[in-house]
Formats: sequence, structure tokens, C-alpha cells
Amino acid sequence: MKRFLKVIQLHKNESQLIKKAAQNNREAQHVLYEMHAPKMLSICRYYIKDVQQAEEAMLNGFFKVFTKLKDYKFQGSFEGWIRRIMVRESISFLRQKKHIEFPEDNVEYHNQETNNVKTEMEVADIQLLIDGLPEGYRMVFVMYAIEGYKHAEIAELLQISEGTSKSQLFKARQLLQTQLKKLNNMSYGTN
Amino acid sequence: MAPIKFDEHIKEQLEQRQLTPSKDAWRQLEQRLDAVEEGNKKSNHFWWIGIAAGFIGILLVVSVLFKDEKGINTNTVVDTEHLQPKMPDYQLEVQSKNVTSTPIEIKNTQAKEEVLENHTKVAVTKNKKSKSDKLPDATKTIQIVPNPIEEPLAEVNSSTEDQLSKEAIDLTSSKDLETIKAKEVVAKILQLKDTQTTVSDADIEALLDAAHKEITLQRTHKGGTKTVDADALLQDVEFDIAEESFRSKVFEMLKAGYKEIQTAVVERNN
Repeated sequence: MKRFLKVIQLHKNESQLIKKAAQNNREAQHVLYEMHAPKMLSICRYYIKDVQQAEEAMLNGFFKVFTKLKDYKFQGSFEGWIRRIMVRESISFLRQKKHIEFPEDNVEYHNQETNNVKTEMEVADIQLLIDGLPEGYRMVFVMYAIEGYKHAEIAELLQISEGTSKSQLFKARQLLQTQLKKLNNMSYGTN
Repeated sequence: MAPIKFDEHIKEQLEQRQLTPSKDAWRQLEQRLDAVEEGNKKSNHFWWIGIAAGFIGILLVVSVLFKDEKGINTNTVVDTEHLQPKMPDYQLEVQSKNVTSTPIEIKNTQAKEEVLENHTKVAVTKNKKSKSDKLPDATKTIQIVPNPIEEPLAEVNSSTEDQLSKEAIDLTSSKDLETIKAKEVVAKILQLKDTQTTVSDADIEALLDAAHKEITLQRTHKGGTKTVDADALLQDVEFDIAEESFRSKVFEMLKAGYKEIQTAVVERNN
């Protein structure tokens, strides 16, 4: 009961903070930034290999959050709203830096199994695996597998077809499997 | 392990991760936000300045419009038709005098009216013409005239009196001129009678015409100046009317001269 009341109190506090931040109250904005920045930098880091560049994208995202805060209708979670902004900012950041390719080879879809593959990995290893993926694969994989976007949404955001989105996801998974196998072999070899 | 489980595992692991941004990150963001806020404030200032300028402009336009309307009203109040009849007769005379460009200024005195009876008649008719032709001119003269009205009638300018007396002298001298000319004509006829045995009517007519022309010339060109005098022209017209009297005067003189000669001859014969 106490925990439930604490959540309500936090929500109330966040709503008040959002309202103050919307009125360009710098302190409220700073509090909101401190609350969400670590998580948002992690999200930006999914897409962008370089941490400093990820931080740049995150700052662009927060700048948009605070300048567009009046448009926030308090529908859904505030974190979810910021998160969507961060994903879009990361994608546009990558698009600005270079042209992203989504190679479309003939793909034979078959059951992808990760038997005998060590899945219990450290976060750093997972990030390393994701960083090893080509940008097109990485973006689609992160958006689908981690962020929970549908193929239609991914297609719209990345301005590609749904089929391309699916093929990119399939290839990303294939590549990750091979990378995991290599990682397992290495670990078994060492052990 | 199925791919879905693999995805879930990755998701779980990554969701728990938090990365601390650099210390300067917030300061950078704050600077960007401050810059935007200042820009908005400036644009707001521009808006307020624009609104204020617009308001002042509207006020100015409205004030100018009201001023114009007042000006139009004051202009329309001037009614020349009503002012014109109120103008005294002597002012009309002055006006007419100004039109003829003579330097005579006439005030409202009975004597002058008598002297310039003929002048006023013509002057009034001229003034009527000017009223009908050019109404704004009449209003102009109204603006010029008021000074003599303000002055008392007793304070009549002495120079104008002199001018009037001169004019009267001119009129009398013109009558003398007629008699002189008549005498000249009579003398010439007598001369012709002495030289020639008979004097024809044509000769007398020619002498009369010559005398008439001389009189008119002398009257029209006063003092050798080439300015045309309206009074002289008026007298000329009067002279035309009274030409018969001049002729009769000559004949009277001739008759008298003839009688004198006749009596002298009779007396000499006796």
C-alpha cells in the first residue's frame, strides 16, 4: 500500500515537473533531465556506436523534448514519449552522418535456432555484438527486438518497405547467431 | 534457445543498463535552451513594438482625419453669397475703382457721390459683372477692403480729396476745351469766309470732325501718358451723345459772330 502511494506521489511530482518544465522552468527541466538522461543515453547507444555521438543525439533529443513539451498531452508514460523522440533523433543523427544502406539479398527464411549457444551474456558483450552488425541490420533489430516496434512502423520511420524491414531483421539475427557461436567457441576453448 | 528468447534476454539486459552522460552535457543543453528563450523574448519584444507602432500609427491617422474634417467645416462656413450683399455701396465703388487701376480711393461722403455720379453708375454695373463672372475675386476684395471700414468716416484721406478735386477740374477743363475748340472752329470758318467767297457745308463738317478728334485725343491721353483712362472713355461716350450740343454751340457762336459782323457793317455803312 505504501509503495502504491509512493508511485502516485512520484507521478504527481513528475506531472508538476513537466508542467513547470513546459513553462521554461530551468530547474524542473534539469530535474527531468537528471531523471531520464542515463536511460536515454543507453537507448541512443543501441543505435550509435560512439558514446560521445550518442550523447550528442541524446542532447538533441532532450532539446526537442523541452521545446515541444507544451505538445505533450499526458497520454501514456512520459518516459515512453521521450524514448520515441530519442529513437527518431538517433536515426536522423545516423542519416545525417552518412547514407545508411539496407542490402536486400535473396533470403531463405528458416527456423533460426541458437542451440548450444551461450545466451547468458554480459550487457557489454551484447552491446559489442550489436555494434558488430551493419547499421541497417542494427537499426531494424534494435527497433524490433528491443524497442518493440512493428515492421510497418519501422518501414515508415526508416522509409523502407516492410519486406526490407523483415529481411533486415532475419539477417541481423543470422549474423548475431554466428557471432554468438564464435563467442561460445572462444569461451569454451578458453575454459 | 529460440530467437524470441534470445531477443528477450538481450532486451532484459539492455533495459537495465544506464549510461551517465558527461558533466558538460546539461550545460550545453541549457545554453541551447537559453538561446532559444532569448530569441523568443526578442521576437516577443518585436511583436510588442510592432503593436505599439501600429497603435501610434492608427492614432496619428485618426487625428489627421479629424483635423481635416474640422478644416473642411471651417471652410464651408464661408458663404460668399451672404457676405456679398452685406457689402456697403461705397465698398463696391472702391472695388470698381481698383478694377480700373486708378489710384483713387473713395470714401462714403455725399459730396463725392455727387461728383462721381456717373462713375458710380458704371462702377456698379462693372461690379455686378465681376460678381457673376468671378465670385472668388469678389471674396478677395472683401478681405482687402475692411481697413477703410474700421476707420471713421471723418478721417478721409486728404490725398484722395485732392485727387477728387483734380478730377473735377479735369471735368471742367474738358468743358473749357470744348468752348476753346468751338471758338477755334468759328475762327477758322471766318478765315475761310475771308479768303474764299463761299464756305461749303463740307468744309464746316471737316472742321468740326477735326475739332472733335482733337478733343477726344486730348481727353483719352492725359498728360502724355499712354495709359487708357476709363473716365476719359466714359466722357468720350458722353461726348458722343452730347455731340449735337457741341455742333449747336459752334453754330450758335457762328451766328453770334455773324450778327456781330452784320451790326458792325451796318454801323460802318451808317
